Order: sequence, then C-alpha cells, then structure tokens
Amino acid sequence: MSIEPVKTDDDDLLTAYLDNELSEPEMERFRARLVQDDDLRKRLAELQRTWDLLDDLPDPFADQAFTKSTLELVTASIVAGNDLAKPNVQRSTWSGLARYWPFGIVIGLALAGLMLGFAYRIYNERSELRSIELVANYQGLKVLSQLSKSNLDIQQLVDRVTSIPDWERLADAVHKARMLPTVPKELSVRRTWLQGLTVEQQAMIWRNDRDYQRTDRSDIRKLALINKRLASTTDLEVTHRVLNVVAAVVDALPDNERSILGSLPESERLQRIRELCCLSLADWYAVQFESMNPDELVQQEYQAIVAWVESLPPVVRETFARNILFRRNTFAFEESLIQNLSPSPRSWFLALKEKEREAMAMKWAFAILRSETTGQYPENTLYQFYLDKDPSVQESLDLLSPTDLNNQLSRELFRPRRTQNNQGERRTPRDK
Amino acid sequence: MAELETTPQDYHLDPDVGLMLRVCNDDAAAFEQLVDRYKNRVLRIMQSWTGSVDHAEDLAQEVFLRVYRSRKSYKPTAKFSTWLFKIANNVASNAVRDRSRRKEYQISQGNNVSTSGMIIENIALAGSGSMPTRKLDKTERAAMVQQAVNALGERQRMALLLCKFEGLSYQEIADSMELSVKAVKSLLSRARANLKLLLMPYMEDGHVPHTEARVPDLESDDIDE
Repeated sequence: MSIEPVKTDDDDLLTAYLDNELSEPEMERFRARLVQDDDLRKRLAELQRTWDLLDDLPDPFADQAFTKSTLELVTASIVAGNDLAKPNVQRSTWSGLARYWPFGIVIGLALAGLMLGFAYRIYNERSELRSIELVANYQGLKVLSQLSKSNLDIQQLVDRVTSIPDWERLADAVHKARMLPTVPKELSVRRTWLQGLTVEQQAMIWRNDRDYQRTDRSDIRKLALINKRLASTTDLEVTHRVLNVVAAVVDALPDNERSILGSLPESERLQRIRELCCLSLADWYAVQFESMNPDELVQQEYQAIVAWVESLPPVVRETFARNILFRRNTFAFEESLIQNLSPSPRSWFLALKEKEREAMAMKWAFAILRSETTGQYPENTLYQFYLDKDPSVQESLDLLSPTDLNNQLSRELFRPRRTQNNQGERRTPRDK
Repeated sequence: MAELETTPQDYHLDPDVGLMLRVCNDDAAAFEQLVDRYKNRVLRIMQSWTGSVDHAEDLAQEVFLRVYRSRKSYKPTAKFSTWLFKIANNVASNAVRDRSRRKEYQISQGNNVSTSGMIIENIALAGSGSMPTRKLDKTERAAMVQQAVNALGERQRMALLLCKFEGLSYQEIADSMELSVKAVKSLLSRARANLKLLLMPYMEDGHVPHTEARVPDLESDDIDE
C-alpha cells in the first residue's frame, strides 16, 4: 500500500489560517466554512496537533565556550587579514591635483603593476613559509580540530597523555614513523629548514600540503586557531609530540570507533584518547617484547616492561597479554597449558567455554610473565585451589556461574604470590 | 519562538538592529551580545541541515564570522533576524552542496546523521507488527518528531523552523530564503501535510505508528509557483 499526501487548495488555506496569514475577508470566509464543514474542522485539528508536537523537540544549547571560540575565530580572521570589511574612507580635498588625474592614473598603474608583481612574489613565498607550520603539523591539527567541539582544552589533552608512564617511548616510535622535525618559529630560517629535510620528509610535507590545499578556508581558519592555541601550552615541542601520537592513534581507529569517539562528551573523549594511547603503547611493548630474544633480554629492561604493565589498568593489561598470546599462537599455548595440568583441573579447564578458556589462558600468560621476573610461579590449577577451600566456602562457590567462579578464583590465585607450582618447573609461553 | 514581533516597517525598534549598527562601528561587545542572543537559534537551523552537532557548530561559527565580515555593508532594511537567517540559509546550502560535491573525511557522525530514507525506514521498523504496542515516553516522542522533521526536504524543513521557532512571517521567510511568498506558502503547506502523514498514527491513538505503508519521498521540495 502506498500513501501519497495529496495536496489540495484547502491545505494551503488551512496552513495560512493556522499561521495567521489570511487577510481579514479570507479569514471570515474560512471561519464560515469551518462552521459548516466537519471534515475541514477535523483536518484543521489534526494539523494543529501535529504542529504542537514540534514543541517536544529538544532545544539546542551552545555554552559560553561557543561564544568565546567564535570571537577567537573572528579575531584570528582579522589577524590573518581576511576581514573584508571596507572601512569608510574620508573624502579628502585634493581638488588642486585633480586635473592631473590621467597622468597620475597611468603612472600609478605602472608602478602598482611592478609593485604588485614584486609583492605577489614575496607574499606567495612568505605565505607558503607561514603556512608550513600548519602543513607540517596538518595531521595532528586536523585530528585535534575534529576531536574538539568548540573549545577542547589542549593543555588538558597534553597532561592526560603525558601522564601515561613511558609515553615518550610511544612518541619516539610515532616520531620515527612520521619523521618530521619541529618547524622553527622564525620565518627567515624556514626555507633553510625545508631544504635540510630528507627526501622522505619532503615527500611527507608534500603529501600534507596536498591535503592542506584541499581543505576549506573555514577549516584552515580553525586549524590556524588551534595552532595559535598550541602556543599557550607550557611546552610547544611536547605538545606537538603529543599531537602526533594522538593523530597516529586516532587515524588507526576503524570508522565506527572514530564516530563513537567524536560523539563522546569532552571529558570522556579525553579519557578515551588516553586509554587508546595506553593501548597503543601496550601494543608497542608487546611487539618489542616479541622481537627480543628472551635469552638476550636484559633483565633490567625486562623488569621495566613488567613493572610498566603492572601499572596499567586491568583492561589494558589484558590487551597486552592478549597481544603477546596472539603473536605466540594462543592455541599452542592453551595446548601446552592443558598438557601440563593434572587430570582433574584439565577436565575442569576443558569444560570452560572457548572465550572463558581464552581469558583464563591470558591471565595465566600474564602470571607467567610476572613469574619470569620474580623467579616465582603461579599456581597452575584453579581446581586445586578450589579443593583447598573450606567445604562451606566451596558450597557458596558452587552457586556461582562458571564465569563468576573463574573470576573470583583467578583474582585470589593471581595475586602476587611467592609459592612454587606443583611441578616446581619454570614454564613460560615460550616453552611451547 | 522569536523574541521580537517587529515588522519590516518598524525594524528600527528592533534592539538587535541597534546592536548590529554598533557592530558596524567595530563594537566588539555588541557583536558578542549578538552571538549570545542568536547562537542557539542559528545552531538549531544548522543542526537541522547537517544532523551533526559538531558540524552544526562549525557552520554556526561561519555564519557569525560572515555577519562580522559583512558589517560594513549591512543596511537596516528589515529585522536583524531576517538578515541573519538569510546568511545562515546561504552558509547551510553551500555546505550541503560542498559535501555532496566531494566526499569529506569526517570524524564525528555521532548525532543523527542518518539520511531521510533511513529515518523513514526507522519509523516503519518502529511500527512493525513485531513490536509490542506501548505508549511513547517523552524522549521517544521527541526522537520520533525529530525523525519526522529530518525526513522533510531541506527547504521545507528550513521554512518550518523559521515559521515555528522563529515566528517569522511568510514575507520574512521569503526574504530569508530568497523565495517568493507563494513558494513559502507552498513549502509550509507541504511540510505540514508530510508531518501529519508521518505522525498521524501517533496522533490517532497515542501509540507507535502501525503502518506498513511506504511513505513517499519527502525530500522533494517541489514548489507550487
């Protein structure tokens, strides 16, 4: 079935009546019709009720930060020379020279042409050099502009990211990948700076410049505004390093996660960015950890990694363990784990759901990782741990779901302990 | 609703015209007052065009920037809001045109970015027989009304917002949208008819619409001239 809204003259009439746009005679005639026509009255009431429903729409709200950033935008536009308003020019009394105007115009035009050509060349060059800061930091600024609603507190973003333990390792890694040194402040040395870049760095500038040229003027103004705000942060170089990290981390997100990030309130957005940086650092560590030969791994560095991992929130720590496991083949690790368990806990472990088994393996992996630095081993059987409990406690544990039981026992089991496992052997994921 | 009930004839009584005249003389405080007074109203218009809060804020800022840049050419020949919404209409339609010309990388699409087709589909889904009949609460009702409004064509929606929330007369809407009064009348009439069609099931029994009807393309902004 298909419903088509059939528009009649009465529709226009009803609309105009409701909007009070009828003339007095039209209004009179319409009212007279209303008295006699039930259908018309019904349609009028329906239209009015629909109109009233619009009152339920939420009111938009722009806070004081919006006003502030709008004024900043206007100021930036004036500073950038984009204020097109023409000031009122006072009429002068140059009547005495008026008769020479044809000569004046010819000479003036010739001079102006020369000056303009010269000025244009200088302007072009200076304008390129001026914009090079925006071009070099384009990725970071663009991400920041997309992340910020009206007034993202950049200093707060910098503080959040730099509070991550070892964040500089990630910054170094990103810096190495993005390969652009900080743009000097002085315009006069920027030409030399550009010439000093490597071929790869120049290619990166060229790529950024291509994106920059495609950007809307209003967006460029916004980028310039953000770049100006960067100057108010305590350490400009650190700020740029943080921005590079954030840009790399956000760029790597799939579209749907970027959308979610964009829709979060500002404080949650900052927190999420920090978490993402933590996760990237965990990933980076996992890669480093994997690429090193354990036998050659310097004990001190190994301990530093583990200490860092232990300082992370549980969810990030699990990601770290997961990364190691996936790189080391989770199934093989689980297999070795199963073979090393005694029969009862093995059947208990095998009875777990696949996801639970995987989660358990990850917890084990981390416990083993910790044990490698302390020389201590975790208990390798939850089942034994369960049997050691008082029967009344066992009874209460029996009431739990398998997942809750796992979680509770694991929490107790994988606390830092100083006991040997049953076999007294060192067993690590690498033994598989 | 509009804060003022001035007509083009008594525009000089409009205090916002006075503020704008001060802006013409580079009075920054007056400009700030204007931004404060109109930011939410411009934002409402922009949200209706873009569906995204972030993008709407950017466009609203662009509107105020243009107001400032055009200050020297401002002539107080009508209510200030008519002039402002004319700029808003231009900025919004340019933005929509630009967006359709090139696919832009956008990070934030968190707020109501669905197309009209999807919105209609949502309403149809909500009304599917498998969903238990129940009363809509206020939030759901607001969401449903929002979807219905979003389903309208851009010009119908703009005319509707200016009429309902800004209280502009047909003449003022025509000035803002650079259309004839007759065209505005036609747009509003279609907008009301389409809204009624979408919201009828709710109005009739206060429940989520139960219709398998396929709603025709409401994006059409054909104007009866």
